[in-house]
Amino acid sequence: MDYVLKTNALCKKYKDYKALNGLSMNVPKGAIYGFVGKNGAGKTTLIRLICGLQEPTSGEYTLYGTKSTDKEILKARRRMGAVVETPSIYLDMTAEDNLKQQYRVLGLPSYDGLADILKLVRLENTGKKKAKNFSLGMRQRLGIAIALVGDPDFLVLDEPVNGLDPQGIIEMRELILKLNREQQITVLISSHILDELSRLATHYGFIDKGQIVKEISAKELDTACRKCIRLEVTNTQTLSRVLDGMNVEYIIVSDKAADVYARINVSKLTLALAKENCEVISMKERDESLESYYVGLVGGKEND
Amino acid sequence: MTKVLSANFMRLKKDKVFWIGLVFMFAAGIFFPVMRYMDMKQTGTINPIDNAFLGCVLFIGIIMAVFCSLFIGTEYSDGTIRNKVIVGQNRNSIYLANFVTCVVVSLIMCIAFFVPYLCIGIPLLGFFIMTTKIVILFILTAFLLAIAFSSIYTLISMLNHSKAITAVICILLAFLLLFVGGQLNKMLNEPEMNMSVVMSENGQEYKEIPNPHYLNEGERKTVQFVYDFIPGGQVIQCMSLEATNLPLLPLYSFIIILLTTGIGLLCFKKKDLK
Repeated sequence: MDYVLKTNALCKKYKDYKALNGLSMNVPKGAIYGFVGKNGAGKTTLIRLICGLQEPTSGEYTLYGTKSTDKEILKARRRMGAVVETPSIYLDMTAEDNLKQQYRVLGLPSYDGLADILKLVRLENTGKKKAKNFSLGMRQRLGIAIALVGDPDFLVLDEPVNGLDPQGIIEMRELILKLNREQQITVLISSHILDELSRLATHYGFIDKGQIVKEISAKELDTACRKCIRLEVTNTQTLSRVLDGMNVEYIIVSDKAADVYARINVSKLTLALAKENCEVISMKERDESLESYYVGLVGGKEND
Repeated sequence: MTKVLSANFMRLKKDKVFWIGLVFMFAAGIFFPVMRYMDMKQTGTINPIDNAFLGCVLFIGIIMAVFCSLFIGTEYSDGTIRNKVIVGQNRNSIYLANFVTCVVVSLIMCIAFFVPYLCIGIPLLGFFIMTTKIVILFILTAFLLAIAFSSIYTLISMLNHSKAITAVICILLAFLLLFVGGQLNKMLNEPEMNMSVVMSENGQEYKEIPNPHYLNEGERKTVQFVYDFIPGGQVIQCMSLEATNLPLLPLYSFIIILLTTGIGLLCFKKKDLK
């Protein structure tokens, strides 16, 4: 698998506070990588490091195969765009002038494609309105528009839906999906709004206390979070035989437990098991969401 | 660096502080000779063009403090400095591009004063009494002084995240430098002896007594060096057209430019941006 970004034991210390503590993560090419963690977990710190805004205390990262310690990292960074925390826009300029600034910073010979970018983020009709008079959603979209100048392959968005109204959130989601599907842009999104992230991400990285707790693809997460009934029995071999006989999908998770992915007739199952001298010790319905999965990973209250 | 510089100049064209400063300097360039001419007509005293020729240095420190802090501070307050770093612009290029922008602005401000001053001043007040060499040296001093101010304010603005704090520091520093320059000038001009009134049999008598504030040779050398070195001292010397070590002043400004830019580049390279 090709990776756009790989980090290896990244550490960042602010005086005595360790914001990142040996963080290792992998962002596959073409993915929408949801970077999940609570406030202060280290999401923004990691983004600042990969954007070159800050230097890691130790460890390194690789962007498009170029190591962060390599001088060529500056060239590799030209293939990325980012909106870190608040959108970086000149408030005293129009949307068009803001984009023109970025065209100049990148040294692009002409303003070709500027109108297309404005259209893509639906800011084509803002005319002479200055960015300071934009709504928060418009500013966020302008921030993304600036990040899109120079056709980047990798987009880093730090909390892009924070503070947006429901309509703004929908627009942002559609824009990110469009960029990923139509322009094959790899997107790294940090967020703690899990419900929103679950509608976008193809991969997840869960961060806690400056470390990646788990990296998982959306498919794997779906499987892990699938609705099921966990059965605890005295003999899983017997259970397996009975369930095969009932033509039901299941997995054995331990020598006494199994997850059954179907609605089953409990009486029938218990009777069938009883016939073969297998007792049902407990039966629990499991319906895990991204939220409960996350809480399970980072430890909920004890971690707050 | 040229890419960032090009973006900076594009922004400069629409920068209100720049245009206000430019109009102010241009107006001062007209006001000074006209006022001198009117004064000359009213009082009959000779007012040569030399006297207020370097009047721009009085304002340049303050104008550049406002301009640099707001122009560079906006990069931090609006967060746009991140756009440059993220797309792989070298930190040295970003620092130097901002420094060059401020330098160009300071030179434009000086020229905006000199051009109307000379165009109006020469026909009204006549040509310089000073020798051409001294005039050129003073012009060079004024330009390098303007660059030194820009260099100091660029350093402060580039290393500070807060636009408001940067503006306050730069403006206060501008006034502080002028105040210190004025104080040093006063110290150097203290007379060796003071006249004092002494009561005697013959009534009141005037007697010369040593001035306790008069600087001894060692102190004078140190104070003179500081007076020559700091931009505030140079402003006073340019304004009064009395510079004991005139050829050294541009050299001192050049040292300030090198030092501040060097320190700025080193610190900005290691600075954590938010």
